[in-house]
Amino acid sequence: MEIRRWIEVLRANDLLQEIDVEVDWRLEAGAVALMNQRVAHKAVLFNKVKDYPEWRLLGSTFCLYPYRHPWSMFNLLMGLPIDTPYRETRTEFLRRFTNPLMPIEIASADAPCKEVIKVGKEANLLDIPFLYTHMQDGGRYSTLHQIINKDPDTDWTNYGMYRFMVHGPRRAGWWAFMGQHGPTIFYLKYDLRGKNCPFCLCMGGDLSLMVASMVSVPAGVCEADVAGGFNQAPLEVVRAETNDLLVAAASEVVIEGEVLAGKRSDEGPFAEITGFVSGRSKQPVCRIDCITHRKNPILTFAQTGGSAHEGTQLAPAVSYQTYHMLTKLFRLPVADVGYFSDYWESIAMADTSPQAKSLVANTVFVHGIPLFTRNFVVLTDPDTYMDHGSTVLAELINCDPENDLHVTDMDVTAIPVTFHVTHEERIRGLNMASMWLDCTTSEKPQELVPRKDSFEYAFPQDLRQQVAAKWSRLGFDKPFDERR
Amino acid sequence: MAEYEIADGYVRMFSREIANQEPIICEITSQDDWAKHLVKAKVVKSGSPSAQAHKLWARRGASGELIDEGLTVEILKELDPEEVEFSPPEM
Repeated sequence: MEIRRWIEVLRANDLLQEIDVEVDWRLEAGAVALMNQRVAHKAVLFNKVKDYPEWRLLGSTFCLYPYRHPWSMFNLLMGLPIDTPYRETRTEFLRRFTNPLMPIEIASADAPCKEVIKVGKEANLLDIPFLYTHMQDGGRYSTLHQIINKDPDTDWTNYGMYRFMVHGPRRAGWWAFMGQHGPTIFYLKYDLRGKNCPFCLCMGGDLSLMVASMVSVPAGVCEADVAGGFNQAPLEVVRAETNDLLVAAASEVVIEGEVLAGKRSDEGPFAEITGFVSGRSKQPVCRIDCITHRKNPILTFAQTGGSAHEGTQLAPAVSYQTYHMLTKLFRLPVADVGYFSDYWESIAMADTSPQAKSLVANTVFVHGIPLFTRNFVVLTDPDTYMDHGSTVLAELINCDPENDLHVTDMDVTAIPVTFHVTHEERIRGLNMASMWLDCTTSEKPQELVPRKDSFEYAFPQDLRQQVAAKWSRLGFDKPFDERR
Repeated sequence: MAEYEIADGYVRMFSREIANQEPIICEITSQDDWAKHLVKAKVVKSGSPSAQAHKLWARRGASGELIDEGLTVEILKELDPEEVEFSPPEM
């Protein structure tokens, strides 16, 4: 779904705050978006941007719901009823995710992203209202986009989301860490061989492509294929002007250029999705060769710094993938996986034996879907309902730190947005130990295990059925939600 | 007078040159459009800056805080980062 169609869907569901008052790209648009994410939970379309009369900004693109129901965004994206429950959304998400469709290439003349083409010295990043979003930031950034590059040996094309710092009219920094696919292709297949790496950055062309570029897709699989599967229709792509990469034809903006072999420059600081500042480091440098965009383009941006941002809203996708990995690929005894954050995993165990728990935790650490969750796993009883309150309760009530806290000495790669390692380890990507909490209760003396109390435990089954039967007659417009 | 910022790593790396008011090669960032400029410049911490000097803020590399250390910068020459071999300082 392209961003303009998404805006229509949001408008139809009263999930769009449209602002016609002029806002400044220097901090002000970010401040409005961040407060919106705290109190209003809508996407924000800024129709008038200071210094950039041709442009519009879309902030809080996915930040539609309070923390409890972030998967609703996927319901809208997949055309499901907005209140489809978490597990039903998961079934449909995984069905689409595991049935990719290859994109189809269309002619440049038919591609909306080619309405305006600026090549060479005409291409100027400062003509685009990239935001300055926090006063701790060392510059202006693009965040909600796909950066595309290709393995020259296999032609595997990767679409990933890595922050991009504007350095000047035709120069930018790329926050590129080994282990992530796009950066690994650059370092091993271009930089080591002394060759520049052609790249494209595109935004707004397809939200499923954005989702695919944020979650974990195996090496060798192209995110454009995954997006096609998610959309249940092939993604329309078009060839770039100055290299042979394919970009979403409906993109609002496409930036083309090369990542320069052997060149490094300052990147950062930037207040990241963790809610903390990630510091300055030396990162690869990009030269810009061409910019194409639509008329009256819309620049999407992620405003980090709060608990509800694009990262947390996409956490269900990460949990869906983790569930798929543990239950379908590794066939481990897992009953359910929670959806709360991209930094930790809550897993309800089907088998609470010590061997099973250790195996599940270590599988996540080694094969963890998002890079960030590799360090913290919470294991709970099979019948723990995977909402935030229930799992936090399980941690607080059922975890005895003296016996149930397990720290591994696995040398898992750290990245700068992991904040529990030393600063040097974070910057150098070293030594991220991992931790899992055993909040299951079957191994503990049962007389010491607290009894649960919730709607499901506090009332007999016949009374629960009686309340369910008359629920809508009582005047509630939200569906009955029994959690077992 | 325009305003720029500089990573505090440069201030540490070039402390002797800054104290002696000797030219250095560094990257500074405009506070107007946040474009980076690789420059040969004279950074002055104390004493009287020249009439061509601009206000220079120091950006902490880890925390991102912008600090007023009383610095000014006089840009002697703008350099092309594609042509000049240059490596930014460590944190």
